[in-house]
Amino acid sequence: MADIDPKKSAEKNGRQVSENQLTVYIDDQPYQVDKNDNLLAGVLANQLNLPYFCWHPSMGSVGACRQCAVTQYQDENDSRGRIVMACMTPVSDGMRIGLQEQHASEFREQVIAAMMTNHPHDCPVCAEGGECHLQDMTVMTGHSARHYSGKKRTFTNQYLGELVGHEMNRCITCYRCVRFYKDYAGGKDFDVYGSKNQVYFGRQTDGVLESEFSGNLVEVCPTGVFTNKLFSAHFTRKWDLQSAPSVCSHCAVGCNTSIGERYGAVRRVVNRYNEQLNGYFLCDRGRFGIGFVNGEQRIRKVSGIRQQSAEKLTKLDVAKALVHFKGQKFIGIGSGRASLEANAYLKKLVGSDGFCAGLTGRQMALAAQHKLALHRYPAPGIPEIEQSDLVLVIGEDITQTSPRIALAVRQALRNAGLAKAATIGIASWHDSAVRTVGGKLFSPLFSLQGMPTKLDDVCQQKLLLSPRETEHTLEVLNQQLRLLLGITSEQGKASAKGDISADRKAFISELIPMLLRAKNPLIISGWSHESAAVFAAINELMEILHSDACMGHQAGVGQEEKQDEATADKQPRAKLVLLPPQSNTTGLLHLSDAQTLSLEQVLSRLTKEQQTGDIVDGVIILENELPALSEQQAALLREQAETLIVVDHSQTPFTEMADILMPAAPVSEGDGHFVNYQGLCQRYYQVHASVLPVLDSWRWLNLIESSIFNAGAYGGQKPQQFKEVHSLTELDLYLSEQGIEWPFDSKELHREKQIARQSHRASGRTAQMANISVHETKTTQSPSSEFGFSMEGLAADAAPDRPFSWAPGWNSNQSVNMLPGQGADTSPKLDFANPNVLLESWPLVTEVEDETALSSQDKHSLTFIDHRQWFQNEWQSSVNPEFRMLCPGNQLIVASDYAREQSWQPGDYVAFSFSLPGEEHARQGIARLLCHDELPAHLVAGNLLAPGRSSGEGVIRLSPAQASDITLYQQAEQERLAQAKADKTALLERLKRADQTIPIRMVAGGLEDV
Amino acid sequence: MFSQVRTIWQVLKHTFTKADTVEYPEQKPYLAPRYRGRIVLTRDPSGEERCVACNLCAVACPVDCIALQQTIDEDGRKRPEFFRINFSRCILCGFCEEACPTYAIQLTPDVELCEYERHNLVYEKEHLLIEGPGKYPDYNFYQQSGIAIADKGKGQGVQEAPPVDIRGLMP
Repeated sequence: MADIDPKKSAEKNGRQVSENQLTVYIDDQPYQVDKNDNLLAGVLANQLNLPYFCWHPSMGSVGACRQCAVTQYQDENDSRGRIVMACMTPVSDGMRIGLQEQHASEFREQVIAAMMTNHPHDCPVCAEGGECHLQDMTVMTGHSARHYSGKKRTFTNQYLGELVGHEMNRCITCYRCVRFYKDYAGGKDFDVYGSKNQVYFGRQTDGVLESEFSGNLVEVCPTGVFTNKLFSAHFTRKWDLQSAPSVCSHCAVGCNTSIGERYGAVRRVVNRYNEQLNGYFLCDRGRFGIGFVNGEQRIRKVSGIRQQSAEKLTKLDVAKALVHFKGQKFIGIGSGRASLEANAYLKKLVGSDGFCAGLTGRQMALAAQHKLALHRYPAPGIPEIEQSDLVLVIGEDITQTSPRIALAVRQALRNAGLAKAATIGIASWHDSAVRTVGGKLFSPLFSLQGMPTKLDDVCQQKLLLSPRETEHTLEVLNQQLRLLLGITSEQGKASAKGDISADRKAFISELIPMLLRAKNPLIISGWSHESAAVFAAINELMEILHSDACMGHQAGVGQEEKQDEATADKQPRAKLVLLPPQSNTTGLLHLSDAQTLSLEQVLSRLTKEQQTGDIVDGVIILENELPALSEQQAALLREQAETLIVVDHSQTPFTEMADILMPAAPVSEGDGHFVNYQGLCQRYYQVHASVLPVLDSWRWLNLIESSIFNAGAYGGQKPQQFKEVHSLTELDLYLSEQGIEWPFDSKELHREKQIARQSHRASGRTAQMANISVHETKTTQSPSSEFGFSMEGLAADAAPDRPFSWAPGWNSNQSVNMLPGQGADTSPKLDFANPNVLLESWPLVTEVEDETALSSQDKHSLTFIDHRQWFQNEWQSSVNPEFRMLCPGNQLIVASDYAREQSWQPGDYVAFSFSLPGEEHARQGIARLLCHDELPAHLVAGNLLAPGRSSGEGVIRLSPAQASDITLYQQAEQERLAQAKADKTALLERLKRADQTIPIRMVAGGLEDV
Repeated sequence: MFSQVRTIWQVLKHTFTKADTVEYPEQKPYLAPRYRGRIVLTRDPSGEERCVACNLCAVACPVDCIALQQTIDEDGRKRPEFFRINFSRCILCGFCEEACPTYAIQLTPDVELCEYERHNLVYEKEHLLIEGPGKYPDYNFYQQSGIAIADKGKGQGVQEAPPVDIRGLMP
């Protein structure tokens, strides 16, 4: 069973000897294993086959399944040995074990045989078949014939929502699901019931799983109890998927994913292991949000360009449509969901003075503060977040905006328990023991939020405040810290004024000593409240924590005085994570400079061009739905721009009004880089060739440049050589030649062979298109790409290059454990130089405090805090019918006291009228009321905003709703749900029809590479 | 000399033996029921399609000439949305039949697969599906598999215990 290759182990000996490694003799061969890990992890790290179920690299060992039995020998003379469970055995130097010893091997086979007595014979209809850990392990132990002739146990299944399917018959009771859902991710609505042979994993009653990590059950379950329902509805086997390494496009964390495609349609997203970032887990938005690429709202045709030949659009057609704009002045609006290349290219075309990042003035001020923070305090990756021993979350519900970070924070909070366990000698992988010792002991989490969040259950201290109060609290905190550390306030900053309430005082006085004592404090905030002042206060706090005075204080608090100071403690400890809303917003920060326009400036330039003589002929909108613009502003933009060119993949208000509309490729069909919250430029690769005329945005921009901006005819700039680019590598080279600060060393990668996007078992090649033509087409060529659209090619050697995870004998995603790790991260990291330029253009404007005026004016005016759930707050994924079905309709959370005062019950419907800052017209409607005990009476948290829209605090008034309005609203809600359901069915039908007509591309490239 | 005479004698002798040539197609050779000829899709004893679109035949096929797509019908059964065999590529090796876990795909003793147009050799599901159960008259996958479909609930199949009452107190 074990793969014994003396050469390999000798090579390992030579290479990996380090302090953390021990030598263990496995079947008399020496191997190096990590001394802090258990034996099973050590065996697997040496790529030796040893079956297991309940162990998980992130979740540790519990010894529940008894599958990883090995023989342990006392010394070299011991020939009998004894059976131990590898996952529960710590390693020691010179330890001798046997994988192939007969008793252990028989033991493992019998364990599988026992599991198989009740495992149903439904592999053919099981969505896990072909990537099933149980199948792999059964084959590995050699169990092939069934000896049990009794009846098989059955269970009834539960409805767990539209995303995760449930088939309890298949369960082998490894407990991984409940350990992930409850222990690891902090879910409350999933548990294990029953005893003995009747153990049941599920909810108390049928219902939608509440956790935003429920999709991980599919990957965590070693067999098919939990399945991806969206994948099952349009199913294909793992071996048939054509996959490529990709990056999640739904938030700024940039989790690595692998997207799978078959017959021209994207089928699913799975996690792609990246030890520097997302590890083994994804959030549900990342996993289930991909549906938009198949959606009805996708743009698949050009408009405004006359196509000469009936067959296809040519470059000449595009040139003819664009050529009469030659030399005109354009403003370009970039986007946080377009690739870094596309944004940089757009900026190059329109010039720095014509580039708008698609942000409002308010957001630009925020961006300026954010860029400063990124420049000064490099953001930690998720493994580093998990090492923090104090977390302060400010004004961002990370569980809903960037759930993967919240999951990491949850792990960070376990550090106190882990440390306690370590003092009595329990290793961190000893999961149940650590949890027993740790109990409810958590590292401190302090939270300053506008609304209740899912992390509240593990919070040490929390305050529910409006953004403005948050800012004020932070100022007081900074001031007290400065006083304590004896730092004089620079530039005579006004000391925070006014008294603060007792609870805020208590919060601060509890926070300060812990903050100063913490070894790895972490501060997390984000863009949800759009409050530049909060970011400025956070920057100031970081400055204090990084100041010499603070470090001196910390060193003084520590026991060892001078030595400590002299050695490692000069390193500033506090880390900062700021979470922007979109997958590439950080890339926009990199591109923004002093001249970058805000949306308001774009509008004013368009409307005032006659007076100022600053003529702007047109606007290019790049993959941006501009949610911040109201309908009137959008209409104004359209009216004032003579020409409107829109490049986008899905319908937006602007695609309707565009003069020229160019269909862009979304993340699954294009190539590019997204810059995550840390500034890592992560590459996503084309999963399948797009159907023409859908092209990458940067290919469209290349065509636009050749017609409009070519030959330096515009702006009096130095004429530059226009170059036609055929691949992303060429584009990167081209852009770096243009003097754009570019993070990539644009070497062409020379591989002898491409890496295969398909598995070596991909089937149906000579039949899948036979209904169209019996003569098989060649596979799509992709010159100058690292990946080929074929089953032939190399297997990727490094983890980031793996289109899918597979190892010999390991077909499931557990194969990750059998593949060599990736080592250092290879993605280039941007530096955010010159943040001050942006700060000077967008200084922090202290908002006029009219709180007193507001409160005296009207007692019923409340502060509205945006609180949308993970399936509502991102524009691309929110079109998915399943996500729309999850939406509960308008909901407002008010303080219980306030509700009582108004004599409203939770669940009542109320009429609201609310407006955001700068909005003239109040929005009105009906919403369901929810109550929360700890919410202050002047705050209302709700999900009234459209997906993609973000805002600061709004003003809202509530009043009792008319019965007739409630009926109307309920009808509208029912219609909305029915519509989502109908859309779901229609989409599936369309996809099934499309399976019969697979699009043919000879070359994956530009417009004329058919 | 003797050898030549003997050879002529041997040749002439064959004039009076029975010819081995079979007058095909007027006269058809005997092909055993398990001969590997044209592929069919069969139905289970209740008359429903046996194929559950598990893709094992497609992956077993050495020439990749089977393509299909699974769909879940309203009765909870999985069926192929389309099932296509390109007989112009098929080598009649029978691996698909061996791989099939539900006895759906079977090879028949029909070898007459000749067409003037190659594309006429592309068979879709309606061309492949026959009315009967083929060589295995009794097998019904859904009775064996433990999953619930419209006319068979949990615990109603062969060798299945009734569903566990998870709210029961008995151990």
